[in-house]
Amino acid sequence: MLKRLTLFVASLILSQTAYSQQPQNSIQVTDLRTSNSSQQYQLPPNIRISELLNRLVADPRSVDWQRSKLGSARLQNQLNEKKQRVLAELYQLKQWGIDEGNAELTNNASRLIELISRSDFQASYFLGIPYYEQRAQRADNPVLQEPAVNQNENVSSDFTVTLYPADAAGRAALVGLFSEPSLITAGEKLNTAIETHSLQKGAEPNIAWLIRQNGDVAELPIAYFNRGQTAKCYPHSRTRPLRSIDNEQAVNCWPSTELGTGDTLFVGLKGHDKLNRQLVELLKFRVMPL
Amino acid sequence: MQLPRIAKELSKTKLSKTILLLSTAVAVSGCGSRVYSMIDTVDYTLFGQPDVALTSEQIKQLPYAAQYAQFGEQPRAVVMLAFIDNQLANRGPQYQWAAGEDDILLTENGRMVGTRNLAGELNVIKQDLVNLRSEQGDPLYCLTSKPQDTDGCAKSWQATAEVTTDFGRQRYGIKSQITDLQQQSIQLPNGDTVNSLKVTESVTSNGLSANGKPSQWQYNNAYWIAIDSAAGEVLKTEQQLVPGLPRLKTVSLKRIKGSQ
Repeated sequence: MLKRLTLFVASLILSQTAYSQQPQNSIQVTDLRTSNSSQQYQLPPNIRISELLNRLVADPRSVDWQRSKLGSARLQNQLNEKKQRVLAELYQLKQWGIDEGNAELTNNASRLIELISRSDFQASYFLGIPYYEQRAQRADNPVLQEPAVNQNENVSSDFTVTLYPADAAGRAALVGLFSEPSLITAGEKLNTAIETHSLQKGAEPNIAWLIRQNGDVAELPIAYFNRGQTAKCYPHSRTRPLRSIDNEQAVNCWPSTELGTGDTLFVGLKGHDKLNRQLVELLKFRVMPL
Repeated sequence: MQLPRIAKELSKTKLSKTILLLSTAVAVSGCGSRVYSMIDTVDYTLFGQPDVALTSEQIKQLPYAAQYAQFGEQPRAVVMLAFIDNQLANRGPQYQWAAGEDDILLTENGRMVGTRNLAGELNVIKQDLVNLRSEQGDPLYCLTSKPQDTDGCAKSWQATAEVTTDFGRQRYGIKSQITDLQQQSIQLPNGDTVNSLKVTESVTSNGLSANGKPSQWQYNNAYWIAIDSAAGEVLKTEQQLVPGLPRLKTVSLKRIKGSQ
């Protein structure tokens, strides 16, 4: 592994000399198979994702590709701004609850503030890296270059990649206004998870949000009266990962009936649909503990 | 995604021309672009065309290891060896086979451990196998490592298969029992006759059926492992693990060890 990394660094330095006129991209690699610390590397121009991963990973079977992520500092900044906006809205709601003497709303807003402020979020184009497809098909394997904001811009990008170890415990998360937010073993039936984990008073009783590890989102009817209805699904977009979850992208779907590894089930505030959607847009990128 | 592929299949040229194009592409391409060249040029696909049947001469001309692969009643296709990932303790190397535009088959010791892009709404195949995980060593690793001395090899194995569904994942508990080992002579499509160890396996798969009820499926699988000069290579298989991914039959066209 060390030899491979040394060769990788050497090749990057050489390529940096040869292409010094072009914008210099870099990548921050967090390899959770070996440590929690990150390494920063300069990238040669026009490098494709599979070529980068080939240099970083000696044995692809040691990586949990479905869980691994690829993003950028620019995307992270945009997500951080979004996080601050959502937090500001939650603080306003909490204050309104205090002013109105509404302890239930105050308490629920506090819980959501805690969830967002204490979680780590990693903005990602790829939520799950299609490693095998990328090295076989150029269409799945773009060059690591973010689009310029304007035509004359000669921008460099700071990419981030996080590699997770294979064979980690398969867990799913229940977050939001569950009475006891928790990590549960993957494989549990959705209905069982909903029926056996009670909700806070003031929680949305009719809709839960299922956030898949790959960023796809499903709006699930969970009450007795609507449980038989079709869910609405919002597929993750690698080109527009931070786009809003709104009804224009919704497709009718019947999600699988169990919680898979890395999935998150979220229940938000009753009567606050817009805020709940904004929370889901953030929670797509929440880093689940190993 | 499937409709453009079908349209492409309709305009496909004859196989002999494809082979010629393949040879030309390989001659002019470097190793680094091996897979792109191969897939761009050879559009063998797992769906939508009659069975592929290569002559002995055509098989000799194949530049890489290859095998026939057939899922259920789907037409037989040729899949080419694209990558060999290095050997892990107790697992053996992993082979990535490619066909068509982006159809991918992953095998370890002959066992299918992953597929990509085979499943589709309009396909007979409804599930892709995302991964096959186990805390134990697969008996097939031991049997392929020493096919002429199998006494110390385990005869049972458990794993978890994770497959795609329309929107999400589903898991199956897999229990395997090796029920029979016997030597058998088999003939390969290139005309060679090879002595092999036939491994017969009974697989029980536990998961949820389409109506959401816990169900159990049972499959009898077989693997033929070479015991000639290139012993250990899996030459032929008939296998199934989960209900949504039909029975897979493979047979070696151009051998891996022979082509290295």
